[in-house]
Amino acid sequence: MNKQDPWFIYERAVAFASLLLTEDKNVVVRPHTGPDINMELLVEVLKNGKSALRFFGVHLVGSLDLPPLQNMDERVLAHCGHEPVEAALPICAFVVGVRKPEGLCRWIVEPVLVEGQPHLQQNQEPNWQALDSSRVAQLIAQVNDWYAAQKNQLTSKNGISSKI
Amino acid sequence: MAADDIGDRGQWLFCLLMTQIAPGRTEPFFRPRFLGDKFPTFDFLVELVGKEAYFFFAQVKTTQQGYRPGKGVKRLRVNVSHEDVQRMVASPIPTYLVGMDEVQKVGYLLSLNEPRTSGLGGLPARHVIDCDNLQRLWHEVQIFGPTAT
Repeated sequence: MNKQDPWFIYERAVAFASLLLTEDKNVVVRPHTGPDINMELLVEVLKNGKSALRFFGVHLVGSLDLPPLQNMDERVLAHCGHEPVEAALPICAFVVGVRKPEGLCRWIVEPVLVEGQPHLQQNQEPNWQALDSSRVAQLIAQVNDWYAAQKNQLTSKNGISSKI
Repeated sequence: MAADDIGDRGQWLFCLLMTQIAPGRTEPFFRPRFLGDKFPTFDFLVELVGKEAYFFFAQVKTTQQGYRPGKGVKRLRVNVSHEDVQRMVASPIPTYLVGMDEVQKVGYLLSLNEPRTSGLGGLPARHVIDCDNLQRLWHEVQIFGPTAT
């Protein structure tokens, strides 16, 4: 978020995003205040109500009203920079127009499966989608699938029984 | 949903509703400040934007249980203890109880600035948190309460 924005831009964006994310009772949202990283929310996806350390980050960009779609990437990248984001977990950008409120989202660092193997992919495509309940559910499902594949990969590499 | 989770969602919903930007304005009427989980009775100190010397305390109660019939107006199914009601009534700072219907995503305000003899079983769904009532509240708090010094 831009530190020069009025206070309510950030606070309304956080409230809007948190409400959407926690419609799934297996999602916990925490503010992230770490330096040098554009990530305002740390989101944990629980597994059957319990922590399985499945995290992803949300980079929040707020404004009074949503900017035009053609300016969206420029607006987000102005905060992130144009270099690839160094991250070991998925990161999604939420752009929120706080007046209504309404939003758009897209992956910046996307959790993908390539031939069943988990990868983190820098997403350069400006494929913005409406930030709503169904899209959030898709994001969460994608995160869950990625972590499940990662766990399978780790346990099979180490020859560790999944029962341990 | 666990009680804590409902409470968290209620607080975010409260923040969103209280910071609505009315038509013709570019900023909210109020700025809620969370007091922390351990603060007794009250959840938020709410400042008046543009008149920050004026503020009020709010207790936010959230429910997924809906309403029950009341005399003339339905009542949101939230309860407040007699002890909390007495603390709120006794406060020299204006105090309001806020009931959040987590399912319908609406909230209701109830002033606790007049004496009451009992606790509160249900919150009248009379004063919904919308731009008109926020504007009224902004003026009402200035009439009621002492200012910060």
